[in-house]
Amino acid sequence: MKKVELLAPAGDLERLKWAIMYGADAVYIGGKNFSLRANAINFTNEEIKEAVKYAHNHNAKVYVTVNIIFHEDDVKGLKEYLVELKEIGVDGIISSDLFIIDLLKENNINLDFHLSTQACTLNKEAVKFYKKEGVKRVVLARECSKEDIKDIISSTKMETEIFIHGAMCTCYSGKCMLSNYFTNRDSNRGGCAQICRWNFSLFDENKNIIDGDRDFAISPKDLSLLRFIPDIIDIGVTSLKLEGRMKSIYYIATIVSVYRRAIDRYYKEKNNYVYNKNDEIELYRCANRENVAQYFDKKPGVDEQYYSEREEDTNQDFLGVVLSYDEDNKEIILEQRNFFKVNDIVNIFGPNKESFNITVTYIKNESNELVDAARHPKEIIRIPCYKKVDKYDLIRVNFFS
Amino acid sequence: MFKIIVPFPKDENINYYLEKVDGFILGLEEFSENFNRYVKINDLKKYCNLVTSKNKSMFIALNKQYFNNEIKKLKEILFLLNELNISGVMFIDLSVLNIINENNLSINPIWFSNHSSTNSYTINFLTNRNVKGTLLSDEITIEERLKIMDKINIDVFITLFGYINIATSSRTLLSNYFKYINKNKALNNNYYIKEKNSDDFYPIVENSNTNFFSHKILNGIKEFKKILAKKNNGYIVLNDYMIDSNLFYTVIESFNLVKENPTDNKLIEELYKKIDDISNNNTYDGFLNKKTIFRVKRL
Repeated sequence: MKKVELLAPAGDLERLKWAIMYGADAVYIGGKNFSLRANAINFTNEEIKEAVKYAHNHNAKVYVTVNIIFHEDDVKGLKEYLVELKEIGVDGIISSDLFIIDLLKENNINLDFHLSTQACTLNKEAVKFYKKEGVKRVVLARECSKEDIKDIISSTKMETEIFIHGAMCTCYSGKCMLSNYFTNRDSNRGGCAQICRWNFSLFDENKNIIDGDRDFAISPKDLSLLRFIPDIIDIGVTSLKLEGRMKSIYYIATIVSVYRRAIDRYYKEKNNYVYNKNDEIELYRCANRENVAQYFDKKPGVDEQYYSEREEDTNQDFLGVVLSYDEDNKEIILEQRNFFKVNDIVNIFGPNKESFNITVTYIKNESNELVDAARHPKEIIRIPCYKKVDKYDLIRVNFFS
Repeated sequence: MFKIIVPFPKDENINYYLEKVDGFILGLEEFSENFNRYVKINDLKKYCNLVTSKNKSMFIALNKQYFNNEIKKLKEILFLLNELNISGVMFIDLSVLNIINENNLSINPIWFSNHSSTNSYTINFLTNRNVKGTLLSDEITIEERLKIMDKINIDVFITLFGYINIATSSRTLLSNYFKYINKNKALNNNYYIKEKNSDDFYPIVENSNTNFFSHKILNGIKEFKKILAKKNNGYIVLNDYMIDSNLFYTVIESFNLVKENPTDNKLIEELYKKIDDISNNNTYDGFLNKKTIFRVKRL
């Protein structure tokens, strides 16, 4: 049985490396053009080349999003770009505009076509259509339930990818023009202004406000299918996708490592697999919204969304990145990201290792002076640690009880 | 040549519409959304026969995204439609096209995605897969639409009047909210959302899905003449969803007048103003003359 793929987002080369380091089997990235995150940093062609080299050296794959819905004049340069992606050796493109299928065929550009979730594929008949067209993989709509996914896979034998973690859209992907109408920013060409995170008021037919004191929001809670990893693997999903090309390295490292552990444990332990509640806490703490299963086990209702944007949290759990370990002095040299102080208990985690706690008994600044707290973001500091840590391990608030 | 089509009306208005328009889009119970009237499957044959006996077009709207567990009944309805005298089926979900093609059904599939039909390349891709007509996206300009029309050879559908459906959620967003605030949601569907710093009220309607609509009514009567000047065959869609019936009668009369007098700019201006006045200045031209942007900063 082929092991399920863990697919992580990467907004730039740095995040791509973090995702792979922390256990992603594949990453998806966007180029400077034709990608739905038009306002992210994204990758130049040179960076895509470097990304593919790095990923392939680490046995990971790179998929490139070419997922805008094209206007007539946007097509210029697309063929040349696809040829270049082929020559670079990317492992596939993620698209939803169907003419690209013919463009690839007619020009003998041998690239795997993964149908983006923007195509809003909810059923087996649509999947059959894409399969006949030579589509290699379908990213199913986030509105699909477990039963839908199971039946689609068994009826079509198609490679499927599903989102298992991250922010959700309120409306059907690819069919939401809220951004266009509220802000003139084209959601299907990468300009989505996330109107579903805004606060509104609701009015009746006479335009009287329904509840003057309260907002009307349509903001969904985040998705997490961590609890359902065994079910998802058992029904034969090919790839498990994490959302968040614009998220931080801390977020990416955390969610990738949590899902990596859960997947690996399930393959190893199968019938003895036990859900680890601490994993859930880790996922919750690195996000600013609660996680729920959304459509996977039932149609979302009153508890799967927020009714005011003010309900979202912010957190400052991410304390620092390990730069190196000083074996002689038993000290971690780290780059600070958020405030912590002497006597705090912090948690350290990294690729392929169990996380552990230490008490910060002292902090030294760059001049090797003792200070009572780490106050300055990006400052290089030292803290004591008798257990060896590695470059790229991360330090966070200890939130485990 | 361009014809005028409207949603299939209530029984008491059918005769008026049969005289005034060239065809209908029929909303079918369970399979369609955003219509004032939904016809039951049992009445379908009767209405199709009535319309086609008058040499008018009858399109059936299968304009929803279908979940996997709806596929069985979707197949059944397509087989039933195959036996009826209809002009075509309007679809968004490609399952409809696949069922028609796999089963060699004699139904004209019309791609009715009001957001995705933004370039000629995709339309031609679908033309090669048996699609016979396409609605052009509401979010591209009239100039972009005219440019696309030069490069395609299937029937073109363009919406020039009505509230525009701008997003669909499969969540019951209104019911959820009323539960949350412990109030009862009224049975009528007329609700609006408004962003705090704006004066624009956007209609929001919950049925099986929750649909959002443009804050104003699209009035593209000025652009109609540009479309009439093209050689393509197609249909102008005038949509009455949530529209006052008197206003809609005026709209139909006005578009017919423009069709007969496409070069009379003074008349067109007058009709544009008349429609806007009757709607209490609640019309606009949507994206017909406004391009969207997508890069907000250079990095």
